[in-house]
Amino acid sequence: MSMVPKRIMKEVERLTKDPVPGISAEPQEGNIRYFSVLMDGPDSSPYEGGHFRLELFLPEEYPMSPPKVRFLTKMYHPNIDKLGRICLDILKDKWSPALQIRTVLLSIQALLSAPNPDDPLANDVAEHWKSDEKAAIQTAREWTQKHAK
Amino acid sequence: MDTDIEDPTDWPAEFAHLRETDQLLRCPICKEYLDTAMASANCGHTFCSLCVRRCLSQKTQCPMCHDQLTESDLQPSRLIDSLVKSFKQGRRQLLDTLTRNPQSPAPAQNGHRKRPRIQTRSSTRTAEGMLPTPQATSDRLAAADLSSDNELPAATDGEYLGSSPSSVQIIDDDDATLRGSSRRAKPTMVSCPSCGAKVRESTINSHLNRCLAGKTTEPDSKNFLRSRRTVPLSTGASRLPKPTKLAYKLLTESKLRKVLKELGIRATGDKHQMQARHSEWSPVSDRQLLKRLDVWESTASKPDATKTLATQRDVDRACSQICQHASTARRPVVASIPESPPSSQV
Ligand SMILES: [Zn+2]
Ligand SMILES: [Zn+2]
Ligand SMILES: [Zn+2]
Repeated sequence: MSMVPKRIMKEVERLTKDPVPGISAEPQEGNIRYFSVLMDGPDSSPYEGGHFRLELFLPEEYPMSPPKVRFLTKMYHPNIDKLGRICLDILKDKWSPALQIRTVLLSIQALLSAPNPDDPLANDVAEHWKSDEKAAIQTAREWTQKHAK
Repeated sequence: MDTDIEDPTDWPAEFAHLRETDQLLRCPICKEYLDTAMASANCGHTFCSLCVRRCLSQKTQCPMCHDQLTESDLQPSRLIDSLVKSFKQGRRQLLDTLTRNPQSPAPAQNGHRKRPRIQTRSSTRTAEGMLPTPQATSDRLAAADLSSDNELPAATDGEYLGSSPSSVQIIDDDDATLRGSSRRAKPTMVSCPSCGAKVRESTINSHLNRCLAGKTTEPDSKNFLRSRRTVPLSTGASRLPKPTKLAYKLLTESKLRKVLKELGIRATGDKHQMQARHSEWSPVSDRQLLKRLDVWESTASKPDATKTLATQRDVDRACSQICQHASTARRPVVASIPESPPSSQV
């Protein structure tokens, strides 16, 4: 194992000892920079009842650069594309080294509760959301049932 | 990967303020204790010198709030450096103490602090009505307990998202916290010219007045504890009823017993004993002097049961006896004692 910054060790320790409710994140054996994440869909969202898998990777420059995160479970969400990539400011220009894995995961969970079709990553989904929100939410529910059980 | 990684969550959840303090002394970037703290002159956010400079080389903004920030806006913070240093030094010890015995967080760094709580309360402290330190400390911790939850304070995750760090007063330096009032200046003690008792200088005049009037209003704590069982407490303001001269002959034994009970006098023995006790008590008319009654009782010298009037001499003697006794036994004198609910006894 290559040299791991203490900060990463610390975050891992904390995530294990004091996990975020509804989110588990475990580093892969042999690669402490690669995490398997399981996230519960937030209550009263179209993703409620679903368990979503994500992968999270800490690049060499972390924490100066943001972690790379994507959903592995198929999502119907205007800010998440087919490949599971996530449109979230703190993963891009709003990243700060003061943030950490924990904050990132919480922000992603919050994004599931509050989709933002005005800043879309998946254009067709965003269009659906804007033209017929009810139907879009229904589709998101169906996808949750189908893919995230 | 555990023991050598220090983290705010090392503190038991019920000590939320210690967690918060621990958190606040850490750099938001590297999560270590601040190393050569540098604060932004614009927004006040503070980081390790090295950490923040690395960030600024990428982006000229505060890593916490994204305000514009350049190296020239950074100011050193010696106070924080000192706080960090002293917190780190005491951390292991305090943590050990708290986790070993979370019920009574009585810190011990030197002999002075080690003084056991019981002893502090019952014998060594000379009183002045101040709260014993360990109590004060655990009260504060109990208060912390009420507001604690298992999550770290918002400073951890939420702070970045715009909310400024919750205002935390680091109330005490560790000395003040741990030793508290015991370090408060010891009041100057003087001897009462009338009874010889040691009295705080600031209260000597009122003591002397009372002393000359034959009353001390400072019950010693043993007296206080004993009388608590039988008498509603008085702080000197509310006194027991003035004794009336009783026509003992007209009283039945049970009636006399009831009278004694109401007065807070021991109501054991036969009528003759109770009568003797009451007549010994009545001249002084002060609960404080129950002590004297005990002394009298233990000496087994039967007093003249007919003696019912007190002279000033008697009172002075009684005062002297009590005060002397109290001071030689170095029993704490509690300046203000809590009133017990009047309903509880009588
Ligand atoms: Zn740092
Ligand atoms: Zn700032
Ligand atoms: Zn006196």
